[in-house]
Amino acid sequence: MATRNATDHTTTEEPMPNTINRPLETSGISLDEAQELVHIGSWQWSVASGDIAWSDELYRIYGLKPSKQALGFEDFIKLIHPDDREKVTNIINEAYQTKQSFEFEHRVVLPNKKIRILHGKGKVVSDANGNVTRMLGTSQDVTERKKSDQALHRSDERFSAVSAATNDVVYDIDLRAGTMWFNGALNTAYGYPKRKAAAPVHWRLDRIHPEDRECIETSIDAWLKGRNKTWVGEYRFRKHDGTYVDVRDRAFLLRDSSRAPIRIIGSMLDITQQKELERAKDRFISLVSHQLRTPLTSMRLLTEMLASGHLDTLTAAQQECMLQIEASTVRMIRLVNEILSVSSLETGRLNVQLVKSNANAIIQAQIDEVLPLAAERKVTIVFEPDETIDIVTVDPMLFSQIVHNLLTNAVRYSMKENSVIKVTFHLADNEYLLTVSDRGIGIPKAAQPHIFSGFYRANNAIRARGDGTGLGLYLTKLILDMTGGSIRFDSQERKGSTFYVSLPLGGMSNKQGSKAPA
Amino acid sequence: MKHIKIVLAEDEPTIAAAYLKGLGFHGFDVVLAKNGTEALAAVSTELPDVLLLDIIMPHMNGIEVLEALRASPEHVDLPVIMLTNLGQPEDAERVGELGALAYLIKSNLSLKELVEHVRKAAGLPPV
Repeated sequence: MATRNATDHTTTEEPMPNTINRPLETSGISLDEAQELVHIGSWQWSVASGDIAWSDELYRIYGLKPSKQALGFEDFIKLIHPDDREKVTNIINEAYQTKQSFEFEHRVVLPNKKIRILHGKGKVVSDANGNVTRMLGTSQDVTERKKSDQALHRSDERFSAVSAATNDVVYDIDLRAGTMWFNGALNTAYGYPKRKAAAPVHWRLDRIHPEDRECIETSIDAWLKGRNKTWVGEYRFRKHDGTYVDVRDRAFLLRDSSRAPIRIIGSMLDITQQKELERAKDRFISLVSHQLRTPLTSMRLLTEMLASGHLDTLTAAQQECMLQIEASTVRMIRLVNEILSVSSLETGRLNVQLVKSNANAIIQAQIDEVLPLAAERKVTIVFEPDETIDIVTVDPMLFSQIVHNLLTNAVRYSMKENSVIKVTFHLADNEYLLTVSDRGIGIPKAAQPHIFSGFYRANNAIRARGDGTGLGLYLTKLILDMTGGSIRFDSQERKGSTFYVSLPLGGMSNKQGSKAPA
Repeated sequence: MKHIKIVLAEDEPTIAAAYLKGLGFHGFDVVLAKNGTEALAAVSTELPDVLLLDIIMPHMNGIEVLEALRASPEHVDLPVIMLTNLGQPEDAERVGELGALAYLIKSNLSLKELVEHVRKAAGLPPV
């Protein structure tokens, strides 16, 4: 053992300094003061005496009061954690034999029973004949650093495990270095060769479908400049074999203390199957709807002819039946049309065609179109256009549909004969405002949160008319969401409703493709 | 009233029957073509005032028929109304470029409205 070897040794060639607390010549502070500042203690073991001299800071590190009394090796070993005593003895012993410098970590048990981890460094000093005269070293409490290292290591381990377990491609972008790291899914899911080094940050962008890339890059740039922590985008991503997959990319941004973006961690989820299902659903709806239109067309024309008495004179009862069949046919056609509109709006297939238009004329044309229905219900429509509004950018078809939906609702749910529906279109607080007010059945409080949901109909609306589709307001809101407008309403049951449609001063815009961050 | 001749290109028998009856009742002379090639032939032999042209048809679709007509000097100005139940914005745009007078969804059209479209195409005043 080192102690025995040491005590066996009797030669001391070098005079040993009686203290290790010498002034630091260059800085003017004492070594003890310096040690206290950096929390590093030191020791020196004299082979001749077998004593170990400790610096004051070393005592403090061990939770002891500084003392001038030297310690024996056995005293020292008792302070070491029982499980580490053999290891420490061996290391010192080996250093003594080999005369090599050494470095090690061990635990100590403080007088208050707390366990701390110390990191020690030491060296061996020999005389001219190669005999070891003393050993000296330093010791530092590294407990906190070890804990945070361990936490970091566990967190790294978790990240690696999650990255390895998932089928999603996980990436980690270092914005300052301009590099990005990928998990193994890039190889297993998308066929790219496993990479050892990080890829340049444009590597992923280069593999986004050319038609999607600009939109995605713009969206990411806006995100980095904004305040959102997360970003979601969907694009087509090129696999190693050259084919594309539909990907939903979710990313999280880390910023430094000055809020500069430094790191993006994200995942790319393959949603090809989901997209294909959506497309299949869309094709199915489209096919069924178009196929339904053909028999509906002939039913409509033939009942119209029969009801009008073009072919033969009908009795009053027969004509009544014919008119009802015709009305039902038209209702079914409307339902098919609305389902088709919903389908194309929901899939974003809708072609928004912005045209500088005379909005007042469009509104008037829609009013003219519902006049027969209004006459039937004996309601009057009053339009108060703001004549100073000249041209507004809208998609005329979509704008017509909005006006049409609101007007037909107002007419169909008017309660009394001789009631008046008021329509206005004017400039208000930096927006165009279209209002449609009726004195109809109103929307019950309980129904108000739901009226923009697809196929929803309020109970009083169902009682008033059995023939609604529950798609009109849903469609209206979808159109406005997609064109930068908005809709709200005031309503009181049995008193009536007012719907307000706002369009920005720039008119409608095409919001498709610009997926807002979550 | 001037006697108006219509070529109706329509491959769906029930719709064709309804149109033949309805337009006949309103005093139009209607010749039926059951596909695109028949439609093109009927235009040459019947010299109609108006062509009602379905889009999805066997042999030659309505858009191809319209393209062929616009490429031939005799029929470059023939009034054509497209009738479809498909409603594709791209089709509407294309037939507009080819000078079709209207692109109409059949199911959304009452007989009365169709008659108005035909009268307008033939240069007659509305009823």
